Amino acid sequence: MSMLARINKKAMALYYPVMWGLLVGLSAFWVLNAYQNTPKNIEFIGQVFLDSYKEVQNVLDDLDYAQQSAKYSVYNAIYPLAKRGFYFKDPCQANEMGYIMWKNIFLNLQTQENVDYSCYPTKEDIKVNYAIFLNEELNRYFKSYTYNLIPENNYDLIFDKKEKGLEIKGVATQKIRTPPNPVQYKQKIMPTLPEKEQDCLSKEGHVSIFVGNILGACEKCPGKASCESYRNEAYCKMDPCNLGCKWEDKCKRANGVYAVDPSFEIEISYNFIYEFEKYVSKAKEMEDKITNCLRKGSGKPYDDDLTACSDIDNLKKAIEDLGDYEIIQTTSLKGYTLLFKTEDNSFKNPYSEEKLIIKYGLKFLDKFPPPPTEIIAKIEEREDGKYIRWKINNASDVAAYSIYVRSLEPKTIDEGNLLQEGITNTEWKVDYINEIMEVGDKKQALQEGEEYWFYIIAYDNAGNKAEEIIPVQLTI
Amino acid sequence: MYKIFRYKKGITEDLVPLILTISIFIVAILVFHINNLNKKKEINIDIKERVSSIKAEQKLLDFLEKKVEIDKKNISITDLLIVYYYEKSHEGILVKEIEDMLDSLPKPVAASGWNLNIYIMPEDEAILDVVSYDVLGWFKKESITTYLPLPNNPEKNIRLNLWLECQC
Repeated sequence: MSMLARINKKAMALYYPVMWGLLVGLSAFWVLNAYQNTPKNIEFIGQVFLDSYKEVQNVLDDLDYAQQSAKYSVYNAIYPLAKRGFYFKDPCQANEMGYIMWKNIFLNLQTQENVDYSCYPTKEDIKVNYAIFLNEELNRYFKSYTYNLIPENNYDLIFDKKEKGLEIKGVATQKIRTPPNPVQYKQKIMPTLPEKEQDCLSKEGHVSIFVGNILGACEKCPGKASCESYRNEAYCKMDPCNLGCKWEDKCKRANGVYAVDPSFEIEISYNFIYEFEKYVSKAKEMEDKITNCLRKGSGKPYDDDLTACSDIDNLKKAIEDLGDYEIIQTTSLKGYTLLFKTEDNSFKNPYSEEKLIIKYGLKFLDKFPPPPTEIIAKIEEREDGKYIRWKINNASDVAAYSIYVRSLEPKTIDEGNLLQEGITNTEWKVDYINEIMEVGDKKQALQEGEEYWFYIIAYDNAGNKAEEIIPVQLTI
Repeated sequence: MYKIFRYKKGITEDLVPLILTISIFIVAILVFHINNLNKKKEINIDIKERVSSIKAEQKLLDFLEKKVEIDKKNISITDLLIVYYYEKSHEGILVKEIEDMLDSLPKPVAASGWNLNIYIMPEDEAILDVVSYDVLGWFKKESITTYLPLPNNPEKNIRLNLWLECQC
């Protein structure tokens, strides 16, 4: 009995600790088990891994979009470049009917004279301006991509000539940066001040608060907050340091979870730099041809010199190997404007059937005096009197002629005496009555049967006066 | 209660509640364990869905690069989508390719399947829906969205929405 009582006392002494131990053990087991199986944000490595992998796929999405956009844009940018005479901004400040001028006329305010000014694009100009158009085109694509923020005006270009085409390398100057997964902010319905430390960990040190699934939700953003969209969701972007966030160091170092370089490398079959240079050299060739023609006079009667000098057949020789083209001529006071419109059939866009139209213009200043006028070396006698006649001037834009006389052979255009000016036809009736000839200080009439030297000076519509003469001795 | 400690017979009288108490603890542990197993199962399904989603997105990205022969030309599915949008042609081939792709995607549970909706943005106008699995009600679980730019129309783009319909 005493033995049993001793044993039972021991059992009694063990009973409570055992029971309490079981209870505590069970509780500890339950808490530990629950803790181990509950996913915690950062502690749950599997979740973090999945999040990371998902971000990698988001990167691929962004890069694919940028690459695909570049693939289309490298072709699309060629169209506006060609239509605007290979310039983004008009360097000659002479846009006429939508054509950029490669040669323009300026009024020199000091001398009050019109002067020529050339703005032919160089190879470098073509490259630089293409880069502007390409960036513009890419900006349009990136603006419509609401999934993420792809930086705009982001590319410097490197061109590499290939055997059959051109390789364009777009070197991104800024990276695509993505903020942390916005899920953590989705619990908030209305924008509020940051409450948790993690609210500071967002893009570029800003707090992004989810306000809705549509852009219209931006209206919910408070005064100082800007709104941005991210994966079709609207977020109010606020500066945490100005909004009561106490974790400034974290705000400063938070720069997003990834940054990728959206550079691209695309080869196209059309080497527009080389092709466009051909247009420039052809235009220069045309300018030379037209200028020479204007200097000599077109030799075509009753026509405009420009019309004659820029004769389609003439110009065809200069641009015949450049495909279909159209030349539109416009005239303006003291100048000529030639507008060229060429369709380049060698350009093939795999994504569009739109034809490549190259447009540019040349404006010529009519600074060319009419060539000398040749008098017919025979007096024509008619019933009403004797006539001096001359050949029509080669400059077809001649407005009028002046006839001069001198007893001795004139060497320069200023040595003769003006008999009559403003003659619009090509003959002059010899005047024996009026004292029209200056001899020394006196004036006298022309004497019948005497020999005189006559010459003609032509004036054109722009006021240019012939600088050379062909004097002819006639007995009247 | 303390009979067990007082005399020998008490062992048999009090042993039963003691065993019962211990049994209750054991049952409780089992219940907790089963509960945890269910939690684990839920987490596993969740992870499976996410893994399926990741794999599906990878397959979708690969699918867009896949070459198909159209009018004796090898073009990518991306280009085929663009041709379909602009010319409303080759729908049969496109749908067939999408269906094959949807069938090849991993499914987290047996009663699940992937569907693809294609929209034009920003109008959000559906241009093609390919449904491989549909159950009554709304059981959408995982959704993957990819955008494709449109040539000659930078203001618009194509949104592909691949989503898992699942009774899980």
